Amino acid sequence: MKAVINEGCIGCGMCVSTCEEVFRLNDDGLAEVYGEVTAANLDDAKDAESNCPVEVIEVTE
Amino acid sequence: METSMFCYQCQETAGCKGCTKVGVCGKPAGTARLQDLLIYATKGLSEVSTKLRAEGKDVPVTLDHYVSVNLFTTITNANFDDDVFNKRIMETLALRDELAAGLTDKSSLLDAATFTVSNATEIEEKAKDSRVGVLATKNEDVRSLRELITYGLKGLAAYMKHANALGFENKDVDVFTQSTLAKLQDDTLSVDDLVALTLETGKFGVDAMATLDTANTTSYGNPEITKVNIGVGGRPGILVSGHDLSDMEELLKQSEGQGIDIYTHGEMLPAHYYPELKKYSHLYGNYGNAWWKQKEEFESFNGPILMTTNCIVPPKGSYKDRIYTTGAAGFPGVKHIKGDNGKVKDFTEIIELAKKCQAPVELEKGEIVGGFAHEQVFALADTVVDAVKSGAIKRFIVMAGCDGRAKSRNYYTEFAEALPKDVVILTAGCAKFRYNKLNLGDINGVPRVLDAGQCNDSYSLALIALKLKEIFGLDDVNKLPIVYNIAWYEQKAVIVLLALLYLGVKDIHLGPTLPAFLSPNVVDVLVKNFGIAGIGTVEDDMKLFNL
Repeated sequence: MKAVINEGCIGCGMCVSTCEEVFRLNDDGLAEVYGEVTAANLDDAKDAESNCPVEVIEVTE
Repeated sequence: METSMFCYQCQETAGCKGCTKVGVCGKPAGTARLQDLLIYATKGLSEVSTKLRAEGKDVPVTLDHYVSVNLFTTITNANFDDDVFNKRIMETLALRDELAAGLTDKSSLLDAATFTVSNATEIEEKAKDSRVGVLATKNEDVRSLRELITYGLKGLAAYMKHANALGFENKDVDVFTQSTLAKLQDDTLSVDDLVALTLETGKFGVDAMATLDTANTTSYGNPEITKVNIGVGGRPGILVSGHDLSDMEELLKQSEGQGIDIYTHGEMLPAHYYPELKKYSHLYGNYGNAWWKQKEEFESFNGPILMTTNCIVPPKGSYKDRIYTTGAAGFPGVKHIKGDNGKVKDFTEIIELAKKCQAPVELEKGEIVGGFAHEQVFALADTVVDAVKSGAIKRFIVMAGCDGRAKSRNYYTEFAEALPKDVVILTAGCAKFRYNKLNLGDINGVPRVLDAGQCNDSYSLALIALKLKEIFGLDDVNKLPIVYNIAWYEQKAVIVLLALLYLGVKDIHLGPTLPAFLSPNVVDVLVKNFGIAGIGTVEDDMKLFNL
């Protein structure tokens, strides 16, 4: 299971508030993946993928 | 810093500060700018209508309706369609100029009441004018109060639009809305003036909700205790979301006997509680949860979806060809069912499409209970009062409002689960989906979650509080054993909050975050005068609420 953030993040923080175990904002204020996608947080990570307003998150099982 | 947009009207705004590149709701910067220009143009139209009234001249009711729809169209997740905004801006200016022709004194009209544009390019250019948009007001506190009032008016307008659709009017509310929109351009108003205007907005918010309550209950009867199926049947269905009951009724009429079922989604759940709607046997049940789960739930529903108002989120390709909008809702590339107030909408296309679709995939089984609006609760008053007097019910907690995507909203589920068994939750709005399937039980037959209906039915909760105050012979609504822990997301929650403040309710907790549009000084005013506060951890708040 893996999460990727493609180009185009606007740093809104939606993914962080949805799945803080996997996503965080870096020093530039943009989202980055820092935690592993696990069975325990997969649903949240998928929600983050679905909620991203610019659709740059990909979560694969 | 130059920004391509600035919007902070919803709870999910980027970083709890403001969306500057694209809306977290999914609206592009260009759409946000068009929404700002439509609000600006509506202020200009309102300046003209207010001056006309001051000169003793008539303003047609169609103008009132037009202003309400303009405001409603800019509510979060209502409309993303640039063509709609371009059209409404042009129509607003045409209406404004037609009205202005009747003005005797046009000398003091501001730019919003006089600017002209003739095509989409000029509209785009005008939308970048420094006088347009939230940041046009430089003073942070004045800006905060102006936006607080504007968002309250947007919520109020949504309620008036629903009342208007059922043939009900409230001229005083419309006149107030327009005169207030005009005042929001007046640089001579002080912060104190704007604080007073904020509370007055709350007063008219109560009036608007009362008007809608009359419209709904006159048209469809008083909500009654109802068990709603949350499973699915074997027939294809149409899923109806949003808040417009008149659309729901018309669809029920047109789809009767057609071999399909009608399901509610999100804020349409309370349609099941009204006698004149629940009488249709093909109003089958409720599918799914609050608005933000729609991407997966609309996909698995299999049949067509009708969005009667907000909240629509940018649809996935898997169902974009079977989602429809109507009324103030809209999304580019999504089919829109036309029809103004008083005109019968034709839902044939949706019904015919449904017949060709598969039945919904079942998400869950069971039922939820609702319908506890004011008349139903008054009918149970003896039971409720006895339970309070005997100590079986120790407290009521109002947990009305909106649901949203942030994980921090799990707080509301955990809070509901942690409540002592002698506490009853009073709710309205889609916030209920955080706890309405928890099976929290009942107290002497009174369910521990009393759902009054949609967000506007918070009015019912106010009436229930006032009735309890009367029964217990209290002189202050704050002496009742009721505490308020409200969730918000969009602007209809703002007018509900202002209405509660106007009614004198104090110590309201608002979450999951306080609005970004409240400046520190405005928050101070709300804390000092009304005891407004945010939320903490479930454990801390249990102690804070003395639960």
